[in-house]
Amino acid sequence: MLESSKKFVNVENLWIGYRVSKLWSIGHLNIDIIKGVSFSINQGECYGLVGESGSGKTTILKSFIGLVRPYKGTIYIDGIDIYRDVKKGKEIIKRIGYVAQDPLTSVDPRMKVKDIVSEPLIALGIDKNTIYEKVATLLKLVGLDIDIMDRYPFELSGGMLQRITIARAIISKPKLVLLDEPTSALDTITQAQILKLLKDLKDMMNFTYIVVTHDLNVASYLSNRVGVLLKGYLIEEGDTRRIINEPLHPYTQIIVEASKLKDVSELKYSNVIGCPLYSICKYRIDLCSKEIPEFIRVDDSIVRCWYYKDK
Amino acid sequence: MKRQGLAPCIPFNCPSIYHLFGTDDMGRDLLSRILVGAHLALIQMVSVIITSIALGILMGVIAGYSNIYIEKIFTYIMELFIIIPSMVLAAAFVTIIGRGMQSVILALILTWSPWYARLTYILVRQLRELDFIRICEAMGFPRTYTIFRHIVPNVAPLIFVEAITDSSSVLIEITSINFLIGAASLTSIDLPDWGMIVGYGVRYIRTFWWISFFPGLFIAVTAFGLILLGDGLSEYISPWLKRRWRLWF
Amino acid sequence: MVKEEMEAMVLNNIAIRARNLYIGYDEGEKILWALNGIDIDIPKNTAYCIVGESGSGKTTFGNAIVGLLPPYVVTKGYLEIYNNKVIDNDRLNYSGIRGDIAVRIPQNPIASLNPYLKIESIFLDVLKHRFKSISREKAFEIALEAIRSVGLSDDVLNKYPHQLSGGMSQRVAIALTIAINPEIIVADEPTSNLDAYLKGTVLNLLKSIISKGKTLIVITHDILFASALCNFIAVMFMGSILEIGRVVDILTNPLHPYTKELIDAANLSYTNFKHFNNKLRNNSKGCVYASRCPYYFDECIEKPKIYYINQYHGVACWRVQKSL
Repeated sequence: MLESSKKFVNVENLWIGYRVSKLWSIGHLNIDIIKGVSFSINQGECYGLVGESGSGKTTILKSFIGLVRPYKGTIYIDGIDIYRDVKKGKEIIKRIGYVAQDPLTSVDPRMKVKDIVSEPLIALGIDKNTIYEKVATLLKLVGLDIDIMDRYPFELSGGMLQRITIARAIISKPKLVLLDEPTSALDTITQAQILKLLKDLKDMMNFTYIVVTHDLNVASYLSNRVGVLLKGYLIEEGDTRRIINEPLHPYTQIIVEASKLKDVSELKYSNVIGCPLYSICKYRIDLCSKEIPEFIRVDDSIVRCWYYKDK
Repeated sequence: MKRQGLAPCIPFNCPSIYHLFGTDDMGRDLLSRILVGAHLALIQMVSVIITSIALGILMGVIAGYSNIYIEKIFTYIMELFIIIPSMVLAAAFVTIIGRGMQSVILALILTWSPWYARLTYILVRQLRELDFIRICEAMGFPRTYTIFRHIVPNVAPLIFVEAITDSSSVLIEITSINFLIGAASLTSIDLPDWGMIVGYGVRYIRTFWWISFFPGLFIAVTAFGLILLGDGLSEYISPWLKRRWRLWF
Repeated sequence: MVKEEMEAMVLNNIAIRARNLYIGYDEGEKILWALNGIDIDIPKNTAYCIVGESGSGKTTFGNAIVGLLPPYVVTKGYLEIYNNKVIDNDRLNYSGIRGDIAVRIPQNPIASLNPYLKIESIFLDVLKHRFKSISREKAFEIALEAIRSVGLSDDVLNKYPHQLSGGMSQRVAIALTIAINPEIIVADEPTSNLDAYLKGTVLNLLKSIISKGKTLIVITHDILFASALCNFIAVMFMGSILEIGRVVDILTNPLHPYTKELIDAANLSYTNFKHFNNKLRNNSKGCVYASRCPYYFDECIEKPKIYYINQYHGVACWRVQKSL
């Protein structure tokens, strides 16, 4: 299941962190945001990354497009190590689509819509004359009128702007599209429309998606598989249906309950070296405060919890 | 400065039909001098403002994209120049370069462009955090493209509006410098800049008040008009600053 | 059953009553109307939800109840809270209501707390205004009780707002309203700035407020959250109420096409991808939903009034009216 050669996207043992100098003494502190995350995605699949704010999910996306460098581990996209093989890696990064959370800040307010959507093509050096035709086709595809091509972002609503960022993300015919909480800033009806649009586009054009969200309902609608992030650790991964019906890790159980609008006690994370859930976990043992296990396979999923060690 | 065909008449005339604002101690018609002074004021203001904006944006963008050491050095130098009053700098330049508009203009550029540079620097730092700049970097564009196509068009209007709002201060500084330094010497050049005329007339203010009064009036009205212009422009650009409760206040 | 009979039944039990309420903002050249003729009765001791998208006017209505309308507001019609006429055509009078009877839980929890004050100072500040002559010890006691009732530990009082997480700040905001002890609490989009897993927690907290006998008005765009919490729902769109009734009626039998759209969208079983938008039907005197309605016919040129099909369930739609 985890052989690197056959998968489209392969993340192996990713560690991202930074050093800060200590405030009142000499030396440095190493703060890790992502700790040993590994996962892989097939082409045409949609992988959901679920976690709270502060779990590091946006950081993972940033490392895919080269904005943050991991200090350990590798990211393979289409078989190419994007950090070691710099030249080919840069070519691949140019062709990754990125849809950000807030539609208002992800477009340049001083550019017209047609220039915003066509920008990735300019980076790829495509002939200027054919660009606007492509823009028109794409705007129709995402459900917008062509006469907004000459408008400015401030004249448009949040839903329309998000569609424009989606159009911009897919205009370079990317194989991989990264979606960072694409609907968190939108109303219910607009959210449903955008999610349906994303699903239809994926089916139509065989994109590979990585969707980052804190809402399990969004993840379950779009993704085939889901990975759960807890404070930088990928503590569970598996098929979406299975995770929602039979969550394994205690943290996943809590957030599945919460998505059904049930009350959950506010999670107080412990600062121990091991599992962040140590102070409130009902299955805890002494070992949990020192380290968490490597990936333990349970049927088709993987989980990182000592409770499943011998199951 | 040529006198532009102004023939001297009877000195020290009160304002009358022939000389609407009177004449000064050498019999020069004040109205004509004030009108020429308007031309001079505009030249000085415009050259100061445009050069300051250009230099300021340039320096601010460079600082916003540099590493932490250059940033620190930049901030210190900028603050240093902001603190030095323009009048002192102008006096220094007068002794080095000689009198004339160039000293005043140079001094003011050196005082004002660090201000815009600092503003630009803050804006650039904020803009760099925004998603669309990040996405631009990820798309593979070189930095110069990002700066010229995205950062500068977003920074320039705000700096421009700020400059218009500051233009009244610039005018007051120019005229004050000319008033204090320009008129101080006995062999002054015959520039009918408003500040200089006021400086001339200060000696006669008890008796021949019109020599100082009218140019001073022009300075005040122009400065006030520029403030209103700046206000209106910033309300147009950022509509949320509009004072909606005008009827109540 | 008609509205008058319902009115007679609950006359003494109404906390908020609005009749033909219009609220607009003076933009200089024109007036932007946020509320276009609202008629609503909110009984005491209920949880009432106002559901709608951005631009529907729900926030304006919430602000009107607690008295937080800006000075450039234009009003028509009337609004009565606990038998005080707070809006009477163009006169506004919130004395005795604002901060005492009606209080708001703000939307963005972190931004609504003063970052320079410790939590206990914020409590003291608020309680000193509410109970004019209250001793420091008594105020501290009330604050402590409020903090405990939202499930936070005592040491929160000693912290600064930036040391709290989003969920904790939201709880502190709720604790502040509990400490004030008003009759009406308006919760403005209580979960929109929080992670999804906190929805259930906020839900339970708000439920505990209702159990203390207050009137709770929740403004949200999430109809599922509203239905889990409240007894009544009013669906708003572009300043008008389109459907109103008990939660069980609206969820099992949504009459207005917009309500159906909202429920489908919240369940992510949304099928109408191409957003129906026929601008030719925009008519200021007609039904506000005309440009998006798939069932538009001639009658819709005139704005429908709310038609009650049973004691509580009403809808503003000609098509529904004709078919019953």
